[in-house]
Amino acid sequence: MDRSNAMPTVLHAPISPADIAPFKIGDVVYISGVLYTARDKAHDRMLADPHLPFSLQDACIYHSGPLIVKEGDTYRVVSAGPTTSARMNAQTPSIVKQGVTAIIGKGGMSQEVARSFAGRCMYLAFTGGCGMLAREKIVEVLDVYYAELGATEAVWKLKVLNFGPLLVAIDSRGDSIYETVRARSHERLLRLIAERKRAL
Amino acid sequence: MPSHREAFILHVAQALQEAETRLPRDVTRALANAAKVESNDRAKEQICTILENVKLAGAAGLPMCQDTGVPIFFVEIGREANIDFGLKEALATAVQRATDAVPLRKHAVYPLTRRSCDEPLFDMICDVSEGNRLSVAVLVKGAGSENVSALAMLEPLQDVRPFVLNTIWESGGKPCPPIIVGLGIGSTFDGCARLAKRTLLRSLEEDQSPFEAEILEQINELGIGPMGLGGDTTALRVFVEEAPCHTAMLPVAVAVQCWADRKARFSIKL
Repeated sequence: MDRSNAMPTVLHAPISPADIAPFKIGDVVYISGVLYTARDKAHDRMLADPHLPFSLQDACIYHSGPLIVKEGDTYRVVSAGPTTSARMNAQTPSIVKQGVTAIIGKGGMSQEVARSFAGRCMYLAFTGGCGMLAREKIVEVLDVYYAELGATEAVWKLKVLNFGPLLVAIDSRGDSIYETVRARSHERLLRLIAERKRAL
Repeated sequence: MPSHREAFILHVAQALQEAETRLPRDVTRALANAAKVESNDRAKEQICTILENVKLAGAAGLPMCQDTGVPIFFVEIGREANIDFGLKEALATAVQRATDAVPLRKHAVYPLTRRSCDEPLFDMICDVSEGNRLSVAVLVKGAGSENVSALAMLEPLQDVRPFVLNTIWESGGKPCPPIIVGLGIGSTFDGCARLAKRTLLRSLEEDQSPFEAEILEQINELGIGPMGLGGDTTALRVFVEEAPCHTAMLPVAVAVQCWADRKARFSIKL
């Protein structure tokens, strides 16, 4: 299918597993609705918390430590791009088991994570460093959880509109752009090193 | 005569603000050129998204990336400069002011307890030169790129290329490519790391040495691409700095910088 002239696909979060099923690596989507930011400490807290203050069922997790400042009683989002997702590799299969259907981040995740998706989750790449672009798409700060972890590590519940562009980089079947790139670049690495050895 | 402290603090805070909010022109031009020659459409789109983000940050005067990083100050003190204040304390005050004014993210923690730390986070490297000027260059390093930087004490006759290429391959999309790579070769364990980091202050438009061009070509041959999603543009530039070392040593440091190669400088007469 030629998507070049198609209207961009907008998913509404929370997202059901049925909604993510059609998407394949290489597709571009946008998300409107609710995102929960979570990074290292928040993942540990969510997994240890028997009484989660929010539901992970069909939730969209955003790997981000946003720069948000409190002004009076309201929060102002200053810059809110994605953080390196690989740091959350270890905890992610357990998070997926709790019903998370979409993870937004940058830099990719491991093959173990890709395998854990098993038809019920996908990984969406947001361009790293693009904190201002993300800011433009955040409509409202709805809530903050685990604030004692500090503003960077806390879970922020954000209302977003047309958040993206997001590239489906690991789909629900577990196909991963990162794995393809990693395998090909490894072949090239070995070839370059071998050529170098011959030259010496 | 009034102390120079206040003027210095103002300059430092301004330089830090400029670095965080405006991508230097040499980097913007390198990204725009990469977008032009990139043969992979997905990679091209990633670079265009970056350029759009850079434009938004510049227009709003806000940090291009929410990871406002760790500022590293390279201070050059002219030996005739009249410095009538504590440098470290003044830098800390300037970082604190910029943190409140820009604003910047407060993400400092104590390394073992991981508890929040309220002190301003920065690093300072001092050198002494001739004259009466106090010059400061600031480099802002985010965690994504700093985390993949690496150092090795190689065997004296070993080829440095496999270590460099392997470091870049291992890092994949984590440091937010297109990256800038600084290599410090020689000196000592800590000396090579400082050499590597200092190269990142250089302009991307300086002439390349044949060795720098060779390493750049090999890195880009890996095909990691912008954000690790594949493409021709993994690195925009490789800088190499050498220093003599002990005959029984070969220290090599690879300092990786993200596309958000945030740097600014100033110089004042004291």
